[in-house]
Amino acid sequence: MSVTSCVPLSRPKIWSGRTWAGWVEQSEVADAVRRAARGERPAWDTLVTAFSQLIWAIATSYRLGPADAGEVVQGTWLRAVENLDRIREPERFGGWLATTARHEALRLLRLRGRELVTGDDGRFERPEPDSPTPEDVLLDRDRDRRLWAAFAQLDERCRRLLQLVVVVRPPYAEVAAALDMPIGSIGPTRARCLDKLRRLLVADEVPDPARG
Amino acid sequence: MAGDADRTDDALLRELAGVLRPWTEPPAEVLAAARGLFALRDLDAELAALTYDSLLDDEPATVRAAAQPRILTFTAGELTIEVEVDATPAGRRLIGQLVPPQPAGLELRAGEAEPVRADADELGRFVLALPPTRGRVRLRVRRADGAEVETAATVV
Repeated sequence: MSVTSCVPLSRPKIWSGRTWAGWVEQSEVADAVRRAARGERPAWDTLVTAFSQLIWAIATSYRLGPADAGEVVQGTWLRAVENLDRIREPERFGGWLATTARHEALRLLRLRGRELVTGDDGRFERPEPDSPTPEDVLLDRDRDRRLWAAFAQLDERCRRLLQLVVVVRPPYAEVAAALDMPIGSIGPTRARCLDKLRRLLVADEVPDPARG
Repeated sequence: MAGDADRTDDALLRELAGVLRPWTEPPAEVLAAARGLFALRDLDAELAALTYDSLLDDEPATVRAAAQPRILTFTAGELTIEVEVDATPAGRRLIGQLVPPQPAGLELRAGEAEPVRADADELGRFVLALPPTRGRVRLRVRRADGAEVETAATVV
């Protein structure tokens, strides 16, 4: 079996136009996990390609900068390689990875003494110095800038959730694991957060947090 | 703008995906490093999983973190390895104990650095010097019967 056999023929509509090499069908994940556990490197590569976006997105959703986010990706895959032989439910590998990534991210955050206050619903302030800023992002179009500005005004919970739902698809088992939320509440929360985002966008003038 | 209100969830998410790309796209070198980890799967020792980390103990984490020492527990079968990160002005140390108590040879590995070695006494107690800065370490335990156990690599 080659790696390419794990690349789907069709992607969900939402992703059309995106170059996303890592798409793996749910049913193929368990198979790839089993093959990787048997020592098949291409299967491992497939998993890394498929899920690293999710892990990176989880890490940056805790406002970790690129260096720490890289550490979270490394730590999560290390945990995976250590446990390949003993993953009991390979079909839930994505959720397991998401939980592991959350733990790795929290561990780093707390090691750095910057714990998030529980229930933090505060406004997005300045990004951490070592995390990407809007200026780093090539936001050519005015509409993208406005979208970013609106997104930055969302509460932490919505920002984190939306950042994850753009990299995984329904039923969002990985998002539920990453946020430690029941899977049934992801869909409604997603809808609510998108409504908020839309309302911020339609407001006559979206205040730009970068200008204070 | 009228157009904004009309955007469907999917259309909005698709646009958002583009805007958030720096937060969702790991750099190529991060991916390459993750692929390379596969070489580590041939551990010649039994893995001791990380079963407790005081940093992830959610109770009063905010109050605790600064004041309390970091405590980690690793478990492999009946063997438990309990360690505490002891940070003093003189340097950082790992103070630990094997449960059940037993003598053993210990080896601390941090990256490519030369392993740091020490012995656990009859009560299973040991002390190991830690690298001065935060990093990922593994602790290998060579038991009296020759069996080897290695902890999950953990950032301390």
